[in-house]
Amino acid sequence: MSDLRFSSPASMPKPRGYSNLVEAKGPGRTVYIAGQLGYTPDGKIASDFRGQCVQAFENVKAALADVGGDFSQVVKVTNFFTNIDDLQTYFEVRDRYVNTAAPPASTAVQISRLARPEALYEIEAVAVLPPK
Amino acid sequence: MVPLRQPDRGGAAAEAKRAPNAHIEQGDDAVAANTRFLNPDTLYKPPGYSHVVEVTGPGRTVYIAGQLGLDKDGNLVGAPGDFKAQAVQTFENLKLALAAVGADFSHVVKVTNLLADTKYLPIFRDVRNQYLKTATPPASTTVAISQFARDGALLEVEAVAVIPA
Repeated sequence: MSDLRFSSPASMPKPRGYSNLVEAKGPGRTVYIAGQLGYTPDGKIASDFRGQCVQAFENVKAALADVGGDFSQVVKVTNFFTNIDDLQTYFEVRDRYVNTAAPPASTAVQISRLARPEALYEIEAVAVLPPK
Repeated sequence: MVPLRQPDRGGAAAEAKRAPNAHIEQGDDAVAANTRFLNPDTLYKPPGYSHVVEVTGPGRTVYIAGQLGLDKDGNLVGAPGDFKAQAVQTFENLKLALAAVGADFSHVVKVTNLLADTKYLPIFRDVRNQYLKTATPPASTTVAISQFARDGALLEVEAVAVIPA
């Protein structure tokens, strides 16, 4: 187990389903995962937000699995929406993947366009894993 | 008052002059001995941030969630549209997060600044420079985005800090 501490200090505004800070003590492996869209490995993408969001999380899960990790080791996520009104659906999807007792630090914003015109959501992640 | 260090003077000689716990004993302008803030001559001079920050382990890395101008009760501060009030509260929240792990702004290696409009940049910089170590500021990215998770929010700032072991 990595030495990770997930915390939301009482001195700060209470976060909604994420941690205000995550502390990672070395030694360990830090993994940076590129922004993931809702594409399947064979290039298919759902037309709805929920479908894309689930697949994006599946893609992050695959990246984590590739380095021997899982969502409990994710320390920070950054979420980009083309419509922030999808936040509630995102919360539902997210909470099925992250450790809701010790969720990662997070940022979520709406941007005007993603790299692909049909994309509605992108998530990037940083994970800290125990040393090999 | 410790003399200000130039961000591009963080070489081996400067490192050698620092005590291992320089960031604790020397006051506000001290930089952790394992962290170097660089602006290579090959890149343009950045206004108020560093192009490159190098951290040599071991240490504690702290990831801070994007902070908005929310008070402890979760209310947006200031009158609607008051960017400065939100910016000050955002940096106060970051300060609280850093304090919770025994750190301060001198340990911040990277910030990402999300603004509702780049027209706020002058105010943003004024506020930011009251919090960051202006002689050795973190690496930085600033972009304008169209909407925040919270209605009425005008900025969000996230940070990564590294504290020596």
